[in-house]
Amino acid sequence: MDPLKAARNGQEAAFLQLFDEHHLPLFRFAYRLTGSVADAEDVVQECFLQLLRPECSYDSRRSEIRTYLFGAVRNQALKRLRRNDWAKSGLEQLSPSPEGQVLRTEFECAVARAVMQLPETQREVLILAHYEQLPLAEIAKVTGLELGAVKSRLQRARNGLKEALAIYATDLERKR
Amino acid sequence: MNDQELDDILNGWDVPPVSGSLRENIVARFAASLERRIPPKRWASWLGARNAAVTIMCALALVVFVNKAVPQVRKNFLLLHVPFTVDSEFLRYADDESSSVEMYTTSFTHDGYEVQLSRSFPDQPFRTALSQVVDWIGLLVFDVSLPFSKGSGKHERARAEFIKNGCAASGQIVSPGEAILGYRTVAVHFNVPDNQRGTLWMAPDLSCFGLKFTIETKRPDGTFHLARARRAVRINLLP
Repeated sequence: MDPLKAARNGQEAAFLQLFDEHHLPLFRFAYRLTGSVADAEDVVQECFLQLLRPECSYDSRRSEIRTYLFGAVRNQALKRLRRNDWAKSGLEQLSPSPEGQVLRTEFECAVARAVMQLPETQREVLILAHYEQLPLAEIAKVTGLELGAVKSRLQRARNGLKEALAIYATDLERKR
Repeated sequence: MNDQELDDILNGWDVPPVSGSLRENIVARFAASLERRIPPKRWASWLGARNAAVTIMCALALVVFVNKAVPQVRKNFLLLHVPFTVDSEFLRYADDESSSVEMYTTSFTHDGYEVQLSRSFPDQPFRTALSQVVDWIGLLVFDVSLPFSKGSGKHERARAEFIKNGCAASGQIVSPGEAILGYRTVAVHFNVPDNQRGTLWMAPDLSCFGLKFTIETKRPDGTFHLARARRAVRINLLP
């Protein structure tokens, strides 16, 4: 039986099978969009529970469940970012606090900040393409964009990052 | 900077690990969602926007009639045996912890689903009448559709297991809760988005009916305050 159907019929094991299969990439995506572990976990939880609701619009004939879930995470995370104060919700959490410095290097913070400072429309495309390695056609489905728009946004995002992170390319060269 | 160099730099941003509680929370909320699913609402959403105008017209015409019909329907379920119904109140709490009742409901549980018999809203007679129409129609459709909605048996078995385990899904830990209206309960805690947390008290002797439910909101200082609650106020055992 289809695990989603089984989960909707109350089978916890089927629900957990879906969760275990998909939650890590969804969490990574949500975290990189929101910059907050708590927000990312809330978003992921909400998206899985949304699947169980009778009004859930997911149709297995139209898309893969992974694509649907990435789309759901995207919508929830962006809704959260728009509702919260952007500076507080995202960027401040990525600043190296005394405790954070132990876990997160300045370099990592700089990369995170550069990605998070991209316009929202470029950021989501870059995260899906670079970090989650989604094919461009699937990114188009997740974001509801035309394939051409995905390509151009990804290109703009990468160009912007090359500029913002240029200083680290020199370091990288030196290390090599 | 070339593309490869950019990729190497971007790979320097790692993601922290997922907290262990995420899986536990989702298991708890999965169990709670089974409790809260209400089949009549499926029928309500099935009505589509095209039929909305006709539905509203019919509903208005039935408003007066239904206030008399509802008690009769409650007494005489056509096909369904209902061992008990629960009257509940839904409360909203202000920051100063004062509360106001948002809604009263009468409901029963069938096969793990909570089915609304009627709702009423204090000081909102029109909304109350309209809700009773919707509930009445939903109940009627639910009742009539029962013979056609026999599942595969898996849900029933999972449900029986859930009740047998004292309202705990497999691997889930529940803690003893307070006695509510003379019934012992178990409590399940789970996180809710937007810095909230929820607790559900289920009564094993009432087919794990959720007699109490609270939502608490996190204050900036990290403490929680009660934001909303559902509380059973009477249990009606039916012959």
